[in-house]
Amino acid sequence: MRFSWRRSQQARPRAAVAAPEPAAAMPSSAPQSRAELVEVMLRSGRWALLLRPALAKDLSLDQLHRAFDALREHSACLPAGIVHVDRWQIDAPGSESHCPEYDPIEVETVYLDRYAVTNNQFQAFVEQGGYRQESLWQPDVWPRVIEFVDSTGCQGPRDWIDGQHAADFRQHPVVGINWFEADAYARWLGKRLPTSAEWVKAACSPLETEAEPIQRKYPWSDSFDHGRANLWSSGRAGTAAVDEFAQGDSLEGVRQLIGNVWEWTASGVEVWSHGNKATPSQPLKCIRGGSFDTYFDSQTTCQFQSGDTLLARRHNIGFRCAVSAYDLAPLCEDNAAPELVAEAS
Amino acid sequence: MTHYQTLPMDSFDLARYAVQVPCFVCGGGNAFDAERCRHCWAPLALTYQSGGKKSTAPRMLAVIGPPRCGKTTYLSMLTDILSRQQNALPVLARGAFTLALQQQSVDLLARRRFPKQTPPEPEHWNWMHYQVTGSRRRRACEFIMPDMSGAAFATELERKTSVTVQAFLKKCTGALVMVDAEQLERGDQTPDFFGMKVISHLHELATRRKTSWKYRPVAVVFTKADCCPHCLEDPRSYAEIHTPGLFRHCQQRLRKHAFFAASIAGGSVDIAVDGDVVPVALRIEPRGISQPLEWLLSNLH
Repeated sequence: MRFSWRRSQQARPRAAVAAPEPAAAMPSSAPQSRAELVEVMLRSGRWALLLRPALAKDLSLDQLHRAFDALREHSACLPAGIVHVDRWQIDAPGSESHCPEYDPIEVETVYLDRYAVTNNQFQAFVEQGGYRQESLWQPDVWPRVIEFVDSTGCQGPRDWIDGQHAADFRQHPVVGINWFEADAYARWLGKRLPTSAEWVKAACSPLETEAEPIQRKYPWSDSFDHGRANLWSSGRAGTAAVDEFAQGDSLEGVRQLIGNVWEWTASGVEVWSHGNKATPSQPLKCIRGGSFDTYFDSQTTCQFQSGDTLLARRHNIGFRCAVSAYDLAPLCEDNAAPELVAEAS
Repeated sequence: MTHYQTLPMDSFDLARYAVQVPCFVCGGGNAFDAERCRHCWAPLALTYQSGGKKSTAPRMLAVIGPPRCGKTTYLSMLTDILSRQQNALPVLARGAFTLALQQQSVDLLARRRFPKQTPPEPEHWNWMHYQVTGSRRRRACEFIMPDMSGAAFATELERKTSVTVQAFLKKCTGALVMVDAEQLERGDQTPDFFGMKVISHLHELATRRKTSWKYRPVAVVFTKADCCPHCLEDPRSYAEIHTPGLFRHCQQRLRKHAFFAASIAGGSVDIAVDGDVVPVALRIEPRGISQPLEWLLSNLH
């Protein structure tokens, strides 16, 4: 049977989620051959880049296997479908609040990282010169990249020292990075930031019905449980490792969508008032999920969205990456053995 | 022509009206059934709740700052955090009126809106009376805090006309002086001047050396500190650099003072809605809220 994974509409059952692999130490010298380069990319977690059609056609079957396995192990496949995303509504002072309004949004099949990006993973980006590769950055922000420095003036997240993360925080989500840094890291991996709708779909696992989809309020169920996420009410007062709080996994096995750190998304913030778009005083990018210091339970639902300015480098905003199935080379699955097939004309 | 009318004479009620109930804040006499003091508008419930030994009488704590520096938001969040008892300061509210501000404001904050500005008329102020339960390290105590209007306090600084503010400050045993860090970050020096005025005003209130404000604890709290991470990290250094006048006044005129930074919203943005500009809290992430009060209570006589 011949079919491509990108057209697969069936979500895989929740598997045992492997902890995020630490980025391997890079060889001191530049890779000498193509095979060596592929090895380096696989070890540094850049398999999504290898699975791009332009690169995938030149990979050996073994390399393809490994890239494909890595993708399946570290990302959850979210099948295409419709998700209802609540609008952020603001009422005029003194007026009563409205009933929540939502937008039905169609989402394509996407692979979303099971974990938020860790300090250790971001370290590889810093060490391999991510801040010096102009092609990774949005053209408008490139002149300002030199300002994205840590507490000692080295390029890296806000709270790092001498371009290094704290040793105890290897597996904690990287924070203190702005939207552009998150975007550049995702590009370096061959991925992108998830859209707001994709993020909501991953969190609330909509079940399509003839009427409206049935969506969860929290990734685990409809009722709040502070033991399943790292929030203010959990009392931890700091970030946790990205593989903790397994009880809060979504149906597809995505961890810590709620709690620990807010997550940048690719979407901008839209605010509505009485059916009309309202204008924030500055452009904001949507962040979702709540963080370890989010106080109100009502601000930690799958539907709650906040925002921040594109250059904000907060102590509690991190990110995870996504890649569209349509951006990957079409593969044929024969049991567990994928093989590259020519693009259907 | 004279009309005679028979009126029931309730001697019990007459007797009760004959005895004046002294206000806990200003000491003025009031009828026994009054809800608020007719002199200073403080709730008379404070008087009834505070009866007892002088040694266990509630301490009065002032929260002072210019209008729109975030006093009401800070107090609401402070009382909500304290009532959740997730910190080192377990407190219990005394009297239903104590919870009014918390209820009104926390609901708004959960919807990302800030509480309305406190009106300058004292009859509209919310008062809070809390009981701190004792432990091995700390004696049980009580404290009273009003949500004093910034506009009323600013007027008092200029003209000295508010009976309520004067009576309250006279009885206060400590103060939280709020300084708007967001305004300072914009390069506006108004908070520094206001802070200097507050410290000078308190210093001049003293009549006796022993009870002067020089010996009362004052916590200077930089509000809206989410806009400047370095303020959250080291508020004292921040004060030295950004509010040099206030810093010097504190050094010279206050024996017990400390600098704190607090933030409630993880960020805020102005949004134009129906012609009005509405400040919206992006999300609620309280930081540094209970520490100033803990410090203040541990430094009271």
